[in-house]
Amino acid sequence: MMILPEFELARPRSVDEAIGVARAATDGFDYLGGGTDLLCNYKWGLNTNPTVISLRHIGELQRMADGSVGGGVTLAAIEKDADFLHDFPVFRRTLDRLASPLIRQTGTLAGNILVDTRCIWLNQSLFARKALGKCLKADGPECRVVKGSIDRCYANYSGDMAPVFMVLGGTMRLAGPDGERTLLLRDFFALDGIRRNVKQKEEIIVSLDLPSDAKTLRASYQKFRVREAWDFPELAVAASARMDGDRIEELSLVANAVASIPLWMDEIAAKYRGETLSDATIDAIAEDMRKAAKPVKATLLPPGYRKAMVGVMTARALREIRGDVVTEKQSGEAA
Amino acid sequence: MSKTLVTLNVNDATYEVAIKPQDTLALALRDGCGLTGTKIGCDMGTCGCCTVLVDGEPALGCLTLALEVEGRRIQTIEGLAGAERLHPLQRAFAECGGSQCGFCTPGFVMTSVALLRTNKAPSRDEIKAAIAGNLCRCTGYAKIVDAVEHAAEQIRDEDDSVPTPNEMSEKPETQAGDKDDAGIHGRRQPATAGR
Amino acid sequence: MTQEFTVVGSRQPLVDSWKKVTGQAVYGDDVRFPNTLYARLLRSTLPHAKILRIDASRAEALPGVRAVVTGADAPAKFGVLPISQDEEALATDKVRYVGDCVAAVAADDEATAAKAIEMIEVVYEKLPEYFTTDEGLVPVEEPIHEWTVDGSNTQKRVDQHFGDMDKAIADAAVAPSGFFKFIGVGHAFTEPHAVTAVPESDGRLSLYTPTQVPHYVHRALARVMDMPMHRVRIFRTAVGGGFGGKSDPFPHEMATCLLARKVQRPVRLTFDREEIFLTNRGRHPGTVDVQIAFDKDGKILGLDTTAIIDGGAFASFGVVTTYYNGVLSQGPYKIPNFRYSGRRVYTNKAPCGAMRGHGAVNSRYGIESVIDMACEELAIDPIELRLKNVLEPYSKTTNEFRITSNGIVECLERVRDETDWISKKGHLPFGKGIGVSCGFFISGSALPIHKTRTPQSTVHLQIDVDGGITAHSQGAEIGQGSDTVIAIAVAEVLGVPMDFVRVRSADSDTAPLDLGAYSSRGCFMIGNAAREAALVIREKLSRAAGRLTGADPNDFTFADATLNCASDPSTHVSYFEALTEALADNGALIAKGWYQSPRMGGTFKGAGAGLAPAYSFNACVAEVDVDLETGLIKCTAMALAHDCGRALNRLAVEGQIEGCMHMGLGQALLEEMRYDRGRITNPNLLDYKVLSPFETPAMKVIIVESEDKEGPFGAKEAGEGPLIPVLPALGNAVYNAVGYRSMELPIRPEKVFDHIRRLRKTDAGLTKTWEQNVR
Repeated sequence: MMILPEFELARPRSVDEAIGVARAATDGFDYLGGGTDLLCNYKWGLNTNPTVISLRHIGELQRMADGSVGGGVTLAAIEKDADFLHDFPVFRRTLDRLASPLIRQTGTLAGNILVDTRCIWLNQSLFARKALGKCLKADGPECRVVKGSIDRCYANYSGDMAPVFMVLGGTMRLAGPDGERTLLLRDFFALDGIRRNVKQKEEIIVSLDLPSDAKTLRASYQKFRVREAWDFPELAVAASARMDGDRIEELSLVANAVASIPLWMDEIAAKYRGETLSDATIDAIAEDMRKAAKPVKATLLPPGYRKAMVGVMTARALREIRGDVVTEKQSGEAA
Repeated sequence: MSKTLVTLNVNDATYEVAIKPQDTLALALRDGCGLTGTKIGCDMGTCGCCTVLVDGEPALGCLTLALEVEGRRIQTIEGLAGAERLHPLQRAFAECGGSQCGFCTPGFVMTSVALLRTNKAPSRDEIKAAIAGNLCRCTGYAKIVDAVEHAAEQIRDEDDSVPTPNEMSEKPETQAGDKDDAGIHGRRQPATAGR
Repeated sequence: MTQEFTVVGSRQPLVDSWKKVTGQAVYGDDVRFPNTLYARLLRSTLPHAKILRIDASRAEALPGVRAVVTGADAPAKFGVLPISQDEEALATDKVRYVGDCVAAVAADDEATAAKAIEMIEVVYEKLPEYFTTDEGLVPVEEPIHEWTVDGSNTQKRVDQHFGDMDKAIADAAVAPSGFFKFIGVGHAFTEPHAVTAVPESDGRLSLYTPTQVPHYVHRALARVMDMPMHRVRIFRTAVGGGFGGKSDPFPHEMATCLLARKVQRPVRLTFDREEIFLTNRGRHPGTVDVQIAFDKDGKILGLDTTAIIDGGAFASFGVVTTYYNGVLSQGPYKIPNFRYSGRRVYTNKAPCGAMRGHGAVNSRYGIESVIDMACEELAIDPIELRLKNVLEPYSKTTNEFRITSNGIVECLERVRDETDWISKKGHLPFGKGIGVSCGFFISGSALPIHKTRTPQSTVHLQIDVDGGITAHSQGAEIGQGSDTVIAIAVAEVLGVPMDFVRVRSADSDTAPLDLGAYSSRGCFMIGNAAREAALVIREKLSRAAGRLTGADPNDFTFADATLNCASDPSTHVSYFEALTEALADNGALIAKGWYQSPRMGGTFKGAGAGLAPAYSFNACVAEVDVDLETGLIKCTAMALAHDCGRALNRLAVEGQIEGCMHMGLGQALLEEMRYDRGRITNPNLLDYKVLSPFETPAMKVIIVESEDKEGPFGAKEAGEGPLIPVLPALGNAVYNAVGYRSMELPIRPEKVFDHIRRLRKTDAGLTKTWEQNVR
């Protein structure tokens, strides 16, 4: 049995109450969504806090309507929302291979957006970290992946939902001690495996909202990992486009799980707006994306291979957007 | 940190359990309620051995804090059926060879109960997708898929052949909110000889 | 088939599955005793270090802590094999790997025990660390153990030579070779090790443990606790998967008993998942260097192989593993000339041991890959070439293995015919491939680990007035169905329904000796013992029926709980009538059956290794679809024909074979224990990648029944052998698909990707390259 550290559990009923508890928790706190990420890290003794504030009992976080998804909505609930999937079909495939069906039952949207960065040196028990040597993100002096880095952590961003919301132009509604604010999700992340994003500690993700014209975007999320269940992405590419015939009118690209945050590839996308989405264009975009991705050895597969796969996944995403039949290997049917 | 007394509603019985805030549901069930049918295999949400139903939906007992499900309706493998009347899934897991070492079985059965509640006739691919959060090291999953498929058939046959008064009065399409339906097929169907 | 059976060959749910599907089965961590304390272990964070001092005073002072024990409390060495007893309950003088047990604490609750562990101060002096077999083959500064070869870290050397291997190579038309590398893999059973030790009021000691080998735990525990065996009781709980990983006596079992004896209260210890990986005993990493000589017709002239295996910190089953890596190459093909050199080297890593297909999996990957190379060089179809070389039934191998029943020809023919091999092989598009391999495994080790004339399996039967038949055995039910084998054998012989038989196999106080669930011995040996015991009962009931009817007692057949007189259909008595008569003036019917392997084998050194009363044979065909853009391999279909002699329980045999396919594919595609300077870096089920249903292909099971003359009802093993051909079949299919021969396992997608990229670069027409190079 793994031992969870001692903590007090608060179960507030409203966002305001939760923020109040957070402000009072001067010795440190964490918000608890579904628990599938936080409690694992706690069992490993990673950056634990004496107060845990559950967000599972707050009705305002559970709302889901017309492109707006509450931060506390479970991934399984999104998966079952036929209207949402009809409007934004890219989420169907994103969700049905995200973690595992059991993780999706309790895991929440906000939990997936905020999933802690992961690294082979970090996601270890206290015993293992003593044996392996500690890392920058958990009480160690320096990063184990990029040796000598004493101020920046290179752990890998591993959520799947954020890149898709990003390419669909999603915004995030945050509630904090100073009231609410809204920002584009693409502006949410901050390139550091420890800091990770611009959320203040007390702030709570109330919802993610998609603009109504996102329904007319064509989008694709191509995730690369070795098992179709359980695994976090080794890398992924999210793309969306608005097409005028075969001409790219708008294009958004995210290279995911190749850095500490999902990378918003605006320069590459801008370069190809107005182009025809031909095979040559797809190859060129894929090559640009591949070049731009600079994964490090924080996950299972070698960084060079992951980098190459960024190109492959980009091409697949764009071909899907174009309407090609993308051949993803299907599982063999059990006899 | 001191323990608090919480009331857990498990298998339609009330348990008063003294727990710490950090105690998981799996721990509370096993040590607090004495229900050791719920297993802990990895303790990190990967293997699914600890799967129970909370208000009819599968939940990982190892990553759910017991305090969080106070007042909710919890079902474990022990609550599915008595020895005389196994739930069709329990029977099918034994008869189709879906259980070898058996350690993952309670979790698989609970996941499958939830699946068959919402999908009466799942395809083999749908079954695989539903059980993909439960890990089995013995069977290669083939006979687990067989078992779920077979149980679904059994339940459909029983539903067709023996409509209960309750069923006949039901609307043809049940809407969300019929969560209490979970797991009652076992009680509805007659005991079979020799299981 | 001449013999008619009623139960044998049917599809029986496992007799213990009912309590498993209801949650009633009691596994290691489900054992509950009043007044129980909880234990945790302090483990070494250093790979190799001398223990200078252990100070547990702070831990002992922590409220709630009841006892602390260290190596000084029980210094006796133990190990599963009598010839390599190198383990200790808790390390005494030095630690040998990250995870080695140093101290144990019993406390009122687990959290307190865990806290106390952190308060134990150990002063270490670091020693040189050895992580590779290469550095351990030669003398080293600080050997990991005292008893090694010439001051190196080599634990065991095996050198065998039959015939003239050099001449075989000189005479060969082709003699392809390969140097293969294998990473360690683990059993990844779902149930963590969990034990409860109970000091009994009469001074005895009981240990509740999910073990595959109660008898070996019994011996080792008595030795370490310095108690006579009759004062120690082993209770095997339900076992949540073993696969070889629960077949050693373990330090944690000893440590928990030490705590219980010290505090005179029950103590429970449950591992977390990481501790399972640290305890390991998984498949040895290592290298296999193999060359096979063929004549121009594809006949094997000789096989030359060298295996160097990385044992980790302790011996475990390693001596056996060292032999098996060579000697189990003697089937299923005739190998007239044979040379083997094996080395097992200690390293400062988690100890390796026995895992499903023990010692025959990695070596088989090498052999069958090289055979595939030969087929290409000789332009002979891989199935055809294999068929040319198979051993005859009831023959002898070059190293004097006694081959009995052998269905290898049928296995090969059926996988060929039932996968449409002929129309697929050589006709699939680039990226799709098909591959074949054979396998060969022992059906129980003929020689017991301890030199003894006590039978390897004994089964007791007891029948009283209720008519139910209680079968006692120490056969370890671990999910493979050994309890069910007993029930089937008894029900078959006595013609009663299965539910008349209740198997009691958990308690060493009542169970007659059985060596446990390893070396695929259960079905063959326990099955025979159960059958023999049932025949004794049958004799008693026949005589009773003869007394009741006046008919010849030898004339009765048993079916449907009735004894029918064969020569006079009107004469019959019910099972209960016969039983009542048999019990009269006599009391409960008691019978014993036992099994002991016949004498066999050669007289040369190491002749006993690999001897088995029967061998299983099999063939596997894998089909793959390689993603040409990514290098990812998808196994789309797999067929496996396995000669199990006779399927006592078709449902269980299918289940074992399917499980083997899944586990074998896992090692071929994804599974690996990754280390950083001796520290495992993926000790959890997210990072140690067991295949999900999505990666598991359509699996076709073909049961071949060669009806072994000595097997119970003709049966042989089916639990391990079927894993063996899976990996090379997959590897050969990948080669067939894209021309990439993986010289390592798992097959790495990044290397497949690099290979395809190279093909694309070196030739404008990929297909052309393909045709030239591969077909």
